[in-house]
Amino acid sequence: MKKSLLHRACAAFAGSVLVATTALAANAFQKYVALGDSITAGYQAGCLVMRHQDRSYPSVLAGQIGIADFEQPLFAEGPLSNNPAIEKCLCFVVVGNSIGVGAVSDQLGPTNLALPRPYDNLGIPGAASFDLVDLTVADPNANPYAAAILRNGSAGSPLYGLSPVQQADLLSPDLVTLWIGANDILGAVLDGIQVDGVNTTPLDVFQAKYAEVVNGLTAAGRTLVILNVPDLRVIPFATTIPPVVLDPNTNQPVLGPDGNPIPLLGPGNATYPCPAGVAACPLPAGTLVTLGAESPQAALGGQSLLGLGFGIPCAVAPLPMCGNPLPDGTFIPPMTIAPGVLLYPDEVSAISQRVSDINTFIASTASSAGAILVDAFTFLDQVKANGYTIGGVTVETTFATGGAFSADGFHPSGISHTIVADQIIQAINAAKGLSIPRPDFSGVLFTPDLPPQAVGAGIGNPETLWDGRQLLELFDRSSMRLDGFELFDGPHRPRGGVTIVVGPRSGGDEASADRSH
Amino acid sequence: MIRPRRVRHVLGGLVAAGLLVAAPAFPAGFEIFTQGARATGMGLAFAAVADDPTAIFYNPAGLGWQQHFSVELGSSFITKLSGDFHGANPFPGDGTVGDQHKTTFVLPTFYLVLPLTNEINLGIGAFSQYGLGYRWDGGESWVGRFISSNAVIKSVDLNPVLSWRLTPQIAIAGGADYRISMVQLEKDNATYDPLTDSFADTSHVKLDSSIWDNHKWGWNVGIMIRPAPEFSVGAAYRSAMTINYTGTATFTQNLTGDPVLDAIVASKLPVGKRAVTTSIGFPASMNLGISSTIAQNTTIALEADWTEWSKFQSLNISFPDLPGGTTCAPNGIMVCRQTNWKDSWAYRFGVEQKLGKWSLRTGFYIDKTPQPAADAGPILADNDRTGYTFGFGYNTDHWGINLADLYLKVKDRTVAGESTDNFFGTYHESVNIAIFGLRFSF
Repeated sequence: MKKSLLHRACAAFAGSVLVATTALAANAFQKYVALGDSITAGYQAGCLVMRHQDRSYPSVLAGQIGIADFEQPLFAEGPLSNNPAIEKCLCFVVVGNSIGVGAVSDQLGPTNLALPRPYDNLGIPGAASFDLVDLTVADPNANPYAAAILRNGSAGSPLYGLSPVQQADLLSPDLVTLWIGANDILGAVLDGIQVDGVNTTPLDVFQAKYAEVVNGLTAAGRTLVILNVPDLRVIPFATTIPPVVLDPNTNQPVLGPDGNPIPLLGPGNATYPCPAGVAACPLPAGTLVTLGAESPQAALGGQSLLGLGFGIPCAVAPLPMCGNPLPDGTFIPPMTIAPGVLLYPDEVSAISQRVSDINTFIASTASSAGAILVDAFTFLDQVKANGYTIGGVTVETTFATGGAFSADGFHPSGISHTIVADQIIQAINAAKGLSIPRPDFSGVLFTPDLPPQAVGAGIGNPETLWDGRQLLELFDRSSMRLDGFELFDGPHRPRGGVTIVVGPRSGGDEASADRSH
Repeated sequence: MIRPRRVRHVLGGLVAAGLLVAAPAFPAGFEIFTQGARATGMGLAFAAVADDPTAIFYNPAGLGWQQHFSVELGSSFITKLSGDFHGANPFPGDGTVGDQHKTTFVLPTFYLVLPLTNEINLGIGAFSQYGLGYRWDGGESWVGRFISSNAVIKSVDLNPVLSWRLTPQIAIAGGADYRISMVQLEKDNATYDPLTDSFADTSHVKLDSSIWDNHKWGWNVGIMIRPAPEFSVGAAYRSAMTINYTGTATFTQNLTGDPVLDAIVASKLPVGKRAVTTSIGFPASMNLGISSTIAQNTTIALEADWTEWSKFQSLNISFPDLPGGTTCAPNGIMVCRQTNWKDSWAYRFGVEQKLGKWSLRTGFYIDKTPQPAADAGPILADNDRTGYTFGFGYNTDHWGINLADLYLKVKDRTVAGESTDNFFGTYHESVNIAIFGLRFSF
């Protein structure tokens, strides 16, 4: 069945592939296909739009190789609406005298659905390893991105029933990049708890599926480049809020009578239990508090957990919910998880171990397949430790001030996509003795990346853009893997650690609250 | 404490005479070897010739055969003929260009020879052996400004020496070398602007120091052997020294027009002049030469010069009174740069033809760079150099005037692959040095 489909599709696309091959004979590679998740798709700052897709690492890489017909499933971008069903693009914006995260535009629909062949960028927001072989009929209700990118769910489509790996193979690429695996473990970070088979992929399942993916992509004369899973402890979502009470005016730790920072309060877990009869006890050092603790939530009346006082000792700040623990993720068998915002040190270790196990398998699989391995894990750790300095300009991983991550706190910025493309090019050149030109960083470093309409609206000016606009319910676990964010209606304002305090804050919150009415 | 101050007063007079000026970098590294007009005419192969007052610099043992009280005043005029940069991917990108500031540097020299006995001579020299002037035009359009827009090293050596002619064929010499110096570095800083998801040029920092505050004593020795009147062998050595600099850092904000970003930058930018310290290791050097009069009135000289540039291993700049100022970036703001220079050799050839009181000279040398390619950048991009020299002079027993010109071609330096600055492209540079010396002997 699938073979006949493949043949049919080949016949349909043979003409265009032949033309492309002839025109690009001088290039090191004639056909490049990228597989992966939202990062590969070019998703950043909460949305997948062509402004970001044009800066995706596959797009940059294709440009450097000289491939002219590199096709991505481009999504349009439109003015910000109040429709909560539409994905919103985020930017850092001015809120009073702070910088927060706000929605600035809408992600609109795909623009080139009629492309009569698979896309060259088959990155699918939300995809885990198994999706690359199992997602043969994408359900738009389950993952609208997958449906729009794969176009394999309709019996009338020439791509019907073809998985991402099969679609890639159909294009007969001589270069394939594969960057998958983050979504096999990321759920644990988002939920504050890891439960295999519920929010993470069991290791044996991952190994079987990953091997199947690589096997399906391996072909004679084809160069396969594999990137491993980055260190999830490095993403701003998990690293921005320290496990101690911060002074909202300075963003510096509040010091207790002993001169030490005052830990936030959590419910404890099996490894770090609270004393008997105590519902909230200090978080041990090394606990990660996710940005979920700072995001306004509809269920909390537009407030955030920390904003209401969860996790904050009443002796420090008599907030309404002070003295109550920040929630940790809990598992309610058989398949339910109540998300939390805490990763206790043992949970961090378990997640790190899983990432390590995944990467060990990726490395051995890559080696067996003769693939070029790009160690994204180590590279990102180095950037976290030292920054990435190019021409005297240093990119860092800190949220909002570093430049490496986009406004959603998860996904790499356009700058980082160029860095990734550069790392891949250097790896290919070293392994193959090629001289694919490295990309130009000047443009991506110094050219503002704003939605076109926001430029006209004067983004950055506190008196415009923000009025009447929505703040996002950022980092709400309810809907996401590495894909998108939920919106909600009503007045909201950013709190604490998500904002950068510029100066004295007197009146700032009131001002932003007034404007959001 | 008193003695250095006195010495500095002496130097003050030299400064007033225009001695103290910024100098461009050459020969290789940031050493300047054009300290005499006759030597320059002969390809700087002078360690075994050294028969005029400039011997104080080239080989003080050459004073051993000089029987008269002599003074030599001179100056070199160093002109950067070309100095440009063509950028490449990944940064600053194909098609980007930069231009070095073109100017003429004037570097005066002063030498005095005072015979004390028939065998012992006192010499005093003042010259600038080390200097760097690597300045880029373009202000905020110079693509390398986040690394350096202006790097300056100035120094003046005051070098008293004593020579002793042991036998009619052998002389030795030794001296003290008091060096005062200053460094200056200017660059811009880029800050990530979250409101535009791009970097902006947000501040300018100027690190400066006074030449009167930074000094060090070193020493030099030399030996010259003349087994026959027409043959000479010379060797000279000048010690290494490390100067620890103190100075000031001045931060100036570059307004972006975005009030929020500007406020963030302003809140982080140090105000006023802040202390800055750094240290530069100046290399030891050794000059080994032979010269011979191969025909009547024709002298040829060969020389090999070694410079201990491995002394210059790092460039660390700390800000002792700023938070994180003594911790290397990224955790602190201290600049810690590994330079990893290597010892280098230069090979020189020169010839002088005497025609009565007139002399014609020419020479040629190659000078290997001590700088690894990875270290080449906007602060200094050095490479192997080839020098072509020509000179002439008119000399009597009582006075003489000598002129020379040196055309120095620096091999284009292309930075690709490894780069400390992650700054790629090709540097092109050529330099002309005109020099004169005016000697009076009594």
